[in-house]
Amino acid sequence: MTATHIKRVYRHFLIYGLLIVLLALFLFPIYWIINVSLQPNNELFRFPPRWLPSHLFLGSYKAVLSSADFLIFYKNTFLVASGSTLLCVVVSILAGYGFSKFRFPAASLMLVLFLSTQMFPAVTLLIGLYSLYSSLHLLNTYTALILASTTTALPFCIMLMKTFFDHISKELGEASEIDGTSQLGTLIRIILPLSTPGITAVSIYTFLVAWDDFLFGLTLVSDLNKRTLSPGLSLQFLGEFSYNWSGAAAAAVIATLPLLVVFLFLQRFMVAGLSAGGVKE
Amino acid sequence: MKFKQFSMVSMSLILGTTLAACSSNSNTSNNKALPSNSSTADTSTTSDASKEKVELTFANWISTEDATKEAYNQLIEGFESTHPNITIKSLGIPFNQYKDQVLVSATGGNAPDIMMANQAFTPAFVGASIVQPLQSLLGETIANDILPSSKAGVTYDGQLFAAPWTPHPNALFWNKTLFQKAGLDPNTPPTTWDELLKNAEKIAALKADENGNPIYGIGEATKTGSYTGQMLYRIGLSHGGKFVDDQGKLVFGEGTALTDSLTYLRGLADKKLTPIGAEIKDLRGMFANGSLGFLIDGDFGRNNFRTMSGKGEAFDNEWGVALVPVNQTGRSETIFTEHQLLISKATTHADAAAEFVKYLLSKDALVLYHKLNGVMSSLTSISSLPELNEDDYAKLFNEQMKTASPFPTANPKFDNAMNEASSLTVLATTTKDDISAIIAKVLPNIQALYQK
Amino acid sequence: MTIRWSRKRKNQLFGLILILPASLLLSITILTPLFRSIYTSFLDDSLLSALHPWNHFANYKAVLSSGAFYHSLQVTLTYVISVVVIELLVGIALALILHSNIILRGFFRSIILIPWAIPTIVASVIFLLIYNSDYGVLNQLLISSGLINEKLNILNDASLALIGIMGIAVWKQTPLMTIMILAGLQGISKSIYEAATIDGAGATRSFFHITLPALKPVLANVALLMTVTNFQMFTLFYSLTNGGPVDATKSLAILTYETAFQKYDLGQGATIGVIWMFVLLLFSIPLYRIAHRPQES
Repeated sequence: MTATHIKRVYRHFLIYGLLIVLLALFLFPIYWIINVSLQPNNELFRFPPRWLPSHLFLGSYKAVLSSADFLIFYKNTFLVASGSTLLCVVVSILAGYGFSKFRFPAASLMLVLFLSTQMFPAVTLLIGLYSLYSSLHLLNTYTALILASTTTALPFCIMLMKTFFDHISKELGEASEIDGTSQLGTLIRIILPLSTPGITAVSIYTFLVAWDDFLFGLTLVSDLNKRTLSPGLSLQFLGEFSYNWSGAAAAAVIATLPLLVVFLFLQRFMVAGLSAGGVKE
Repeated sequence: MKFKQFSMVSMSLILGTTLAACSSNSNTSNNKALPSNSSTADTSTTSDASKEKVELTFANWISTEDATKEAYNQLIEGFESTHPNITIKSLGIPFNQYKDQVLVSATGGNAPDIMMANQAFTPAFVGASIVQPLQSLLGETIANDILPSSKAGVTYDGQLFAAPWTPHPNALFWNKTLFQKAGLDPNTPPTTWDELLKNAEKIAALKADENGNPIYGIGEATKTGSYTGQMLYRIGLSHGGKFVDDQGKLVFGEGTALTDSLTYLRGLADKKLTPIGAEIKDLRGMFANGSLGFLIDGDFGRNNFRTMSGKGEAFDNEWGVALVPVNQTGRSETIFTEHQLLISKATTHADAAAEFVKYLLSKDALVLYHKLNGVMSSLTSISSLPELNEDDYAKLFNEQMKTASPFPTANPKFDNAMNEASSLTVLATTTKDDISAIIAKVLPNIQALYQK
Repeated sequence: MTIRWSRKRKNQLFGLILILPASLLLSITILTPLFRSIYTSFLDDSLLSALHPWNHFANYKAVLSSGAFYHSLQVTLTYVISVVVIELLVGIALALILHSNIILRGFFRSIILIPWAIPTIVASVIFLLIYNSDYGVLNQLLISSGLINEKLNILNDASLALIGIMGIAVWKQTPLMTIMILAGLQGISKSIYEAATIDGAGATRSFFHITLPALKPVLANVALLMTVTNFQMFTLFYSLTNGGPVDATKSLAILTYETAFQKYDLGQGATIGVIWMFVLLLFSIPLYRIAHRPQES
């Protein structure tokens, strides 16, 4: 009894110790970004660097928050990222289910083909992409950015959803079909509730792919009113003559805060796993 | 249940967003020809009704950068108020991606009407045939007014392809506070290369300031990238070197200039006179922070240093600026970078575009831009105006411009060559390899670019 | 019999309908520029000339016979393999911790995602500061902890620059890895563990015999994802080292960019892209196989 007790304490010690070390490593740069954002640029060139701002400097935050451009970039990014997430999640659920449940002769080949669309360097595709979106009259539209981010994320979302659906027993679906539920009904009512962790992971992934997009936003959109965050920040803070580190950091902090709330909300859906669904293995 | 709702909502949202986005589809490809409705509505009463309304797109990187945003807005305002039938639509592209983005949009059939450029970008735009000759559009008066030093950098195959707008000759900034601390006369800058080095050594001997910040004698760019290559070219000039001869043949490695330049850089590294691996943006920050004795930089320096030091105009008392010291050639050798203006080949409003370029080159525009950002003009008649020579700072840079050389950019691969050349600087400052071995290793890469 | 057959047909049709939207999306937006690039790889296509004649395999010969390509391939592979392996190990560890019954689990799961939400373009300039040889906090940390005496010049040292970039990639991407693996862990039924515990299997044994095999498809998927993502990585290399010092971090992405937009050779740029695609497929197919092997029940 005591031996297992000691073992448990030891285990806890190990888990929390590792957690603290890893969190420290991952959060230190975040701390540094916040630290940089609270100092004027001229304070950054000193050694040893300041661990805390010598005085609270809010100039960068004021500048970012009072910049109409930043708010536009922010809104655009949010629209594009949300649109891409919805589109990608729905399309990848359908396709993932299709690939998982129904065996076609060329299914494997098709999945590999889907996958290989991601394997060409974006830099060499730029001119082709630009011409394509130009001929579809989609330049300077949210649609262009949503399509571009969705297609970037889609192949993996499909594969991931397929993997998750593979886990869910086929018998479950078949049983429900015998009950007289339609195939689409089975997917929506029986299968999807069991796949929430997968769907959440795929949503977060797609959202952040669109969120971090630089190249498409830069190339397919040139209108300042449609600019997204990354190209916008680059335009405002990473100029010809100098970098505005403090400003860029402040913008990153402001941009990231609302996401944290979204994550806090979304991670709840990660908890419901197969264990809750009463699936027989 | 919840998920059925969720999926229904998502479906409808997707349809909604997609439809909304499609309908908000701005018709960029043809809106140039359409009259713009909102912004010109108020001016339409005063403008000539017979004149066609024109919207021009102007690709640039100065419209959103903090340092130049205000000047940009005022310039556009100044133009639109005198040309009510023309509106300028800004196409802001980040500086780092500027060249490739303009090339992509122009080859994709959507060239902006007017584009800003510098000497690294212009040769690419000319080489890719996306811009048109300007001589007839701008007229002889302007063409003949271009500063002699600027002329070569905008002339391709005998034709004027770019209007030189604002030149930025590099001069020598020195830190008076560090001079004093090192026992030097804060008001006597070095005039020869030897003095420069001696002063730099004395300043570097201070090692660190009272806060423990490192102090260096001089800041030279030593990080991989074409800017570092350009600075090596500048150092080469003062050692009597050239990059190409009059026929455009590569002579970079000929003579002793390149070896001498790299030996100079290695000396700086060995004696810890310069920070290693720094790019110009770091060096500007360090100068503004009082960590560098010398920095060779452009006329935008004053504005940058005021902002970066956090001290504003008060910081002007802490430094001085002088002509780049004379080395082996007997004159103050330096380079200048230049902002230029180009008109695209594909524009359907070449005349209106030319009007805009003429305005930006005009006295009105430059006096305004000079007042806000301290820039100069590449036109002889304007650079000599008292309004552009109102203080010693402006006079010094106009003086420096007389001996400044343009980059030999006739070959569009010059930028790439400078990128390769930066490897020379990096190897000279971070390894112990023989200078001759370094040159033998890197030069073939540059030669390969200039073949065929 | 006939009824069963038609039902199978009906199922296949339904399956095809499910796949249709994805197929349409991908073929419209990616395949056209992709085919265009493959076509371009057979042309003498320079931005600086008006004529773009067909030149057979000249681009391929030029690329495959140049040392620059192999050097960049080596840089890329070193980078990709190291980053993916480290991310997998750290990701598994973090996911296991966040899966276990710890306090503030939801909070930790959320904040671990933050690095991924910082725009790469901003992260890279902040790391320029963190790594700075004269003023960087990393040097301060390493010196005060006694690990080094002389300040490191990470991004300007040929032996350290790539490691510096890898560090940022791991920092930025591991959170995603963790969330994906965590999602995979949620998918393993608790009843298997319960059965194992009854059998007397310890934590280590049940990890190697239950968790790892069950996670294999998800792990293969995320490894695949990270392989492709890092093969494509451009921003970090471009803004941190620009391929330097000298060529120490000149990855294929930088080489492609240089070829297309500094040497203006779109033909060779596309050629590197095509070869790159084959290299990547070579890497991906085994991972793909692991991820999508039919499940044995």
